[in-house]
Amino acid sequence: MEGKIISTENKKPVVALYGLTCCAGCQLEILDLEDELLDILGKINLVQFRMGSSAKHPGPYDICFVEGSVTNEEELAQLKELRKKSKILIALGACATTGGVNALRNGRNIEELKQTVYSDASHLRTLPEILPLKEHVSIDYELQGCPISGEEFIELLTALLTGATPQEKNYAVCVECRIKENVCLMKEGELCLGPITRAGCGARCPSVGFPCEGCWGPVPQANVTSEIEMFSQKGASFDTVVRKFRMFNASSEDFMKELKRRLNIEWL
Amino acid sequence: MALVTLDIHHLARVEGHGDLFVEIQKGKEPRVEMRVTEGTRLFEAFLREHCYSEVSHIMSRICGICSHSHAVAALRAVEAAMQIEPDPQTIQLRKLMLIGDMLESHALHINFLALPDYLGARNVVEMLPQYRKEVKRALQLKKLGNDLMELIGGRHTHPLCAVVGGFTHVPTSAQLQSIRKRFHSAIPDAEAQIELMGSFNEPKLVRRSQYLAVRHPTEYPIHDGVLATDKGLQIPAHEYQNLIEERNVPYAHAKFSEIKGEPYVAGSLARLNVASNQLSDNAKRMASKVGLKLPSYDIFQMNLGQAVEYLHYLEHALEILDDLINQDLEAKVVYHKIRAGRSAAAVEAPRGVLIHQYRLNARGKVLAADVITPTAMNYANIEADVRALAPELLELSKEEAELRLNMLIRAYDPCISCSVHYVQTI
Repeated sequence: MEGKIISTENKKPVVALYGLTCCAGCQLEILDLEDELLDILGKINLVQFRMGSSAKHPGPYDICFVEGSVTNEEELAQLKELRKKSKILIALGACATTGGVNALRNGRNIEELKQTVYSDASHLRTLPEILPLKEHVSIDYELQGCPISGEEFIELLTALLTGATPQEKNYAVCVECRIKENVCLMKEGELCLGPITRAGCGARCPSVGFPCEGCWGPVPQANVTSEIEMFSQKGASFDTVVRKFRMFNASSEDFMKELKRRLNIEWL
Repeated sequence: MALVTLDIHHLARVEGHGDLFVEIQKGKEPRVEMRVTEGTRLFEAFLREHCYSEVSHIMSRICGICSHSHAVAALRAVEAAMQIEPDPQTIQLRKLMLIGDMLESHALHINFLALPDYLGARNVVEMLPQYRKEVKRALQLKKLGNDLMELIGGRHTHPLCAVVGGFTHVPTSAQLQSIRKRFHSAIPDAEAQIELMGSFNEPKLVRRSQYLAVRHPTEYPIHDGVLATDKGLQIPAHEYQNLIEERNVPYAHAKFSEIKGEPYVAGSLARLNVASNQLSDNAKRMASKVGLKLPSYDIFQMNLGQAVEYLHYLEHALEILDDLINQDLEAKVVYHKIRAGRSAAAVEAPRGVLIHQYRLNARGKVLAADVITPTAMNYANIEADVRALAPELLELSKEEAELRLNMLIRAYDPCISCSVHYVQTI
């Protein structure tokens, strides 16, 4: 990666925002920063943002954000092109960082899936497996979550624009839950992925009484074995464990490797 | 121009990926293809390994902009399939989720996606020097919808605490009071938004189509009711397959849809044409003040229609908030038995009628799913409108013709990533 991108009055970094296959919720999360949006737009030169602008800019870009997954060859070519054109390439959200719900197709028979949704599926070209963007090209930074958190977006952008080093959160959702003094849902008998999921969301789901579904992806050195054991102790069936782990992480090697080993199944 | 070929790649200021191809020649039937190029997403297929309680969380991911609408449609369809009756508190809270989606999405579409064309700008940033006040107002109107969704659903995109049978978390009375106050003071801004959109008289495209909405006996379309057209057709929502016919087109990753062999419209104009008498008095007053005559067959009035609806839904939310503030809300989920069944539900999403259907087995596993989105409903009508616009396009320069077509498609507020699904009989 080349040097730092610093924003000054005379030279604002050229920024692009692209979407591959997804729900557009991460781009929307940026637009949803209603109180900060005009300030942000004053610090960068946002030249490409198809959802919000009919202006086009071929690049190169100082910073390029990409949300969504690569689902076909065209998108793969586009991602490679964006890598070439961008000093800093940032993957936005679960679809781009762990495959998200798009990766639920992984391990299934793609022809059968296509047939289920489209009665004549012959004209559809789609990849059988969804991978995190970093498996296709090198990625400089990742913002996790389904969708990303607007606050983390501002933190990262601010760091890049001021020359600071972006802080990585290498602790689990449980830490954020403790800070909020939430009742532990695991202790209430729920199946919560908080112990093995990266923090950053502010423990959003447990804070409103819903167990963590793992959309921020694996925390570094996640103790997957112990999590599987805790789930089984709570009476979760084989099938339930697999489903919970796969929901946003069917493409996360950290989760799937241990699950495959423990459950001795190949198709995951 | 005697021959016009327009190939608009990557429609901008719409959600998702689509192209429009148009070929017009004097004396010939125009060739029009709304090419939906968004990658396939296969939601209905991979949902099959999942359990009834996970359906709404997965299906909300169909769309970031209307995630609360998808979640509510999914919850209602699953409950109908399992014969679960939600209590009145749950229904009121779900209405607020749907209204939050309407407010956020309408404010976004009116001001950031549609308005730049009317002001000769390419995006909201270019509008800033001259229209800073309007942009700031728009951001606040948009935020109001987001804050309501955050409060009720636990997050403004992809709701968390709305579950089958109820809510795992509810707002406090003080929180409801505080958002109520903000909603009330936003009425003048919502009126100003109508006046702004009402000040544009061009372009126009008047062509009578059919208009489909979810009609309820006592309230303007939002949470439930029958599927009704302006021409008097009416059918219970779970029998939608007897009303809506769908067909494949070779150039789109989405299915096109018709009623009685003809295209139809879903969205603000459809709701207004089916149920304008149920608008709030204030919304009716503002509509007539800016000269919006209903029914309207001018598709460009979808934009003004959304502005009128914004005011109506804001006032509808106020009524619901007043009702809820006086109750002691509690987080509760009705007791339910897991059982096999099949049913569907229809709600009004910002872009129009949204239908979800599920078939579940006795263990609560999804056997089959079906989703029809309003954007998919509108594709056939978009093509029919482009054909109707063809003679006019021949009189325009290429740039003007392209802009006109872009404005036409944007008026439908399409959500293309929502639409790349497809129906199977289940």
